Amino acid sequence: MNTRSGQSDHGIDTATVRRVAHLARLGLDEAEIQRTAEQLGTILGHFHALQAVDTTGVEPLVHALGDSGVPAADVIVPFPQPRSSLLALTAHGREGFYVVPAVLDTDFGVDDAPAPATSSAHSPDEDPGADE
Amino acid sequence: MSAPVTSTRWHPVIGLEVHVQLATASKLFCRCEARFGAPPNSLVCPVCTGQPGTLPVLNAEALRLGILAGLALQCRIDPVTKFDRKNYFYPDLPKGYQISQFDQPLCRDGSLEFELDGERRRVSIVRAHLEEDSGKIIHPEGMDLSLVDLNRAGTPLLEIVSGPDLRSTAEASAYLQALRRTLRYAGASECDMEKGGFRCDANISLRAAPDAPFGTRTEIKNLNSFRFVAAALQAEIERQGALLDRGERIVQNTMAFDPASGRTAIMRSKEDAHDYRYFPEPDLPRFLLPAERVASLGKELPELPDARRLRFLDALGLSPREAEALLAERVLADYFESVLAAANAGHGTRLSPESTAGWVLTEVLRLSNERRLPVNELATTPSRLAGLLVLVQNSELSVQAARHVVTALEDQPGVGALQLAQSLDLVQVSDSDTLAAVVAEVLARESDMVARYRSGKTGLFNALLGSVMKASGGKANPNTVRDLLARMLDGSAA
Amino acid sequence: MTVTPTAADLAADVRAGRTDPVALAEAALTRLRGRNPALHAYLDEDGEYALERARHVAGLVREGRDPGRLAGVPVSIKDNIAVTGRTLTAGSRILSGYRAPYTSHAAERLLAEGAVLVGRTNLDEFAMGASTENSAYGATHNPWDLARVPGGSSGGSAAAVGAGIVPIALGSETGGSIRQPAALCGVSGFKPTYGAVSRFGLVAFGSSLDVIGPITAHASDAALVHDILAGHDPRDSTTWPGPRTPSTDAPTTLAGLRVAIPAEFLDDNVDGGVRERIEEALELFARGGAHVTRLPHGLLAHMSHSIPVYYIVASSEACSNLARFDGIRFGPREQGAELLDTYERTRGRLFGPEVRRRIMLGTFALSSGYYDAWYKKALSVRRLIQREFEALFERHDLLLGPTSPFPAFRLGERSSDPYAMYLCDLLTAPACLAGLPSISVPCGLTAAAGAAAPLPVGLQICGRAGEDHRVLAAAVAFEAARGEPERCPGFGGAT
Repeated sequence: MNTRSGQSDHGIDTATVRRVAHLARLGLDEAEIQRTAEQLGTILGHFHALQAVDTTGVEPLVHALGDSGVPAADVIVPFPQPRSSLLALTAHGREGFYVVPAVLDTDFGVDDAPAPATSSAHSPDEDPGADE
Repeated sequence: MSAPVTSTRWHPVIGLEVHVQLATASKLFCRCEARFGAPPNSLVCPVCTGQPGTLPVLNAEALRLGILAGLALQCRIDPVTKFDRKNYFYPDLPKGYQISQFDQPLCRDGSLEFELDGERRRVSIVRAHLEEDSGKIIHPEGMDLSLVDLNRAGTPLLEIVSGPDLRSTAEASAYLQALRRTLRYAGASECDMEKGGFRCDANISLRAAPDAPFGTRTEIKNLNSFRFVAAALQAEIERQGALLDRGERIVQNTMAFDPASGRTAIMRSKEDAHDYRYFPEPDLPRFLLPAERVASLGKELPELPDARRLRFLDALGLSPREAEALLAERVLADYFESVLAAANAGHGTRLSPESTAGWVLTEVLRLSNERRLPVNELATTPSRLAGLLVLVQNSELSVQAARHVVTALEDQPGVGALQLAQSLDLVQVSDSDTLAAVVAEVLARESDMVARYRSGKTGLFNALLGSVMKASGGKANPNTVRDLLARMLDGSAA
Repeated sequence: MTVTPTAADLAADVRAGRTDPVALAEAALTRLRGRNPALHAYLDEDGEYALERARHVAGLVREGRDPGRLAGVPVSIKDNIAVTGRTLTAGSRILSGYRAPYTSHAAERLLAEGAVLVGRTNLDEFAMGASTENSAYGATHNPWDLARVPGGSSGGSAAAVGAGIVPIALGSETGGSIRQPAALCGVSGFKPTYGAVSRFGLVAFGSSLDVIGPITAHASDAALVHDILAGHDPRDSTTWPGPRTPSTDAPTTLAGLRVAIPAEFLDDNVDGGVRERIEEALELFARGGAHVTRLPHGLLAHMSHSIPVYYIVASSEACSNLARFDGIRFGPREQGAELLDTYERTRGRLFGPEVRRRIMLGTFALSSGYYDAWYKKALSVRRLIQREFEALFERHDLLLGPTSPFPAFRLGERSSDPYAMYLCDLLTAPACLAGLPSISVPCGLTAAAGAAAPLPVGLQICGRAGEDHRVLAAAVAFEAARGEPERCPGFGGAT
């Protein structure tokens, strides 16, 4: 589907809906995939006029703020509440860890001191402007 | 390709992406302590655990150290920098996105120079950007679950991306060593591999000739020691070479290296490549970095190891081995230079750089090891050692005696080298009259040897010299003794 | 002429020892308990917590210490603004049972001024909606007509103030969520300049648009509360570090104001009755000495794109902001056999349909191959919209218009068609996109088809970025000129 040119009818097929749902980690059943394809198609159809606006040379506006970021001093300020209070927000804590279903990814990483067994460090992935 | 070829004819092209942990006290976007080895989830707060409603606040020191690192790598620092969100789901990524930098990285277009096998090498640095680290996932053996520790989540990283300029495993290793040393000199990062503070991803492709177009590359993820980088690159060169030898194509995959088997394996294919949906981080404004501020930060940079090495070789006449050894740690090289400076300032003496380097690399490192103290925390400060080395250079103390004094310097911080040498009765005797008496006494006692020497066995000179030294209790200035002995044996100066 | 006391009046009485804050809290709780079964404005009443706070304020008064500018005033907070230990559902099942581990900047400021926090108000799930029908915990009803919506997403806060349960409630706005429900419930609702009030502790929806603001029974209380909330917060890097003009510094008069009404604000899609009330408001401004200009079509030419721009920008940011709701560190989890399963079940089942739809829209707009055509395009048009507003503000101090194109609609009337619901933001989204301060103040009632009684209409007053004080002062002057706003039947009563 040619969306870059904005010439398409913005119909969204169910394959696209499935791909987007996977990216968003939303489990949608078959009926909702169909419904979402229709609804997104309709909504984007209403939004279609946007494509006709001439934005040549217009800098995107991320937010209506001045360029005045003020970073903070590098001073340690520990969270004042007990360590357990944040972990207590889930029913899936164990010995100070958050428990998740087994992560099957095969990353090999450094060992941290308190690790009971093998550990892996997942690192952020490919980057823009990388070589070659 | 029709004819079979051997894998040795393939020429590797390597580019490295290195993540270094910046040496801040607190995390990149919250003020939790950035420390390794604490109990799980003990260095966390609502921000770095991604609680609803929390917001990032940039650490000024991380920004400063990132700029310093960039300047040390000869990068351009643009007057504006901004952050972006990189979106993906993983249990060690609390917010479901990583705050990183996409199209306006903090540092761009730099380079790193170093020497490999006596040849100058220059590797381009495409970019270096700030980003937050993820947490850590632990897989307890025999259990069908994983455990997440978020202590590391939010730790400041600088990702440094090299150009595809490296041509061998050895060159990649040398680049990493030089990078680590440079960043440590700049004070930007400890680059502590044991603690995961220096991690590497490698992009690698092979081509048939050094001027052929680049081949299809693969990326090897999460290489956390120099040894692994070298081993993984070698393994991947062999794997790709074997494929190409068979006339097969390389597929653009992400690989993982298994140190146990020494092999690389496919982690995911390009089809599984993430769609990170980068977009500008709306929770952070842009940050202005005026040129004056960057320039004044540049003045904070010390002389960098590559330049210092050249100066050690050219101006001080050190050997490459000595220079390398001193440069291994900035504090060691600083110590060395402080000794020279103190001798100059305090005693008006220009110490021999070479012999001073010898003292620092043997005695000072020995003390540092024995006392388990970094050299800059020894009681034997550069100026106290300078006092000692001046005595040696002026022949007031023998080298051997001076070694004893070094230990005494460390044990008695309040006492100077000369006083210690005197109290240990180690001050060298150079007075000719005193020593002539000792020489005469020895010659009289060893009349046999003297007779044989005079009959042509000149090789006995050193034995006689040793006897005189021994008779003096090791305190005689060997040069004076040599002169006296020669004169009294031969009737003339040697 | 004021019939109902302002919050400022109540606080003055408490500070002077004339009114017992515990009695005020008990009265508010009585009204809440009496009215809430019909309104469903509250998700949690927080009764004990409120009484404890009231006793604390009473103690301060007894000790001769000043409890602050909101001493003993019952205030309700939308359930997407964090207060330590209180619920923070954001109207979603994905946060059911969650208790905030820290307090938002806004709540901290209110508590520091002696406010007594009563109840957590209902909202559209994650503030996504314009009717409060998207709450996972059931819709809120409009106190003027229980068959109608209160607007949204801050519908619980607007209904609570509209029914007279509390004089002040906090709301949040991304595309109209303070002003539109305020208009539909006959109260004042102020959306500050983006960055004037810290978002620290506000569950994020569209981060570049989100603001916290007051919904109040009197415009002067909106000014008071905004003055308390506004200012730099080192925990929110998007708050402005510089000094700020308090609204008390602006003269509360209509005389000399240069106000304009863009033709785009009175297009055909605006209900006739609403238009009449706006015309009357314009006359009132003119009679008060303001210079009123009617602007021709075309000066806000890009305003017609506000709905797509707003929905693409907000949804894109939302899909990222809502990624943290994965069931791992907090909230319920729908455990699957594998990690992917667990993510998809938790998020697929615990987010409601509108939230899922917007996550899909936003993820789509940011995804590879569509980014330039949708997300980037939307941000570029957003710049054009902002420029048009800037140009208008070169010659005018304030822009006027209706807040909502129509009065409160019936429950279910728009919920089957997502796009019809999106049109509720037609007149409010532009100020959000440009980051401008804007208030909705009551300007009378209008008869609506099928409505048992007339329904309130809101006048929108929009100002330059950073000139929150002017907008608030004009609203106070307008309310003074017009008199006490109409109150709904049973206002302030317990039944």
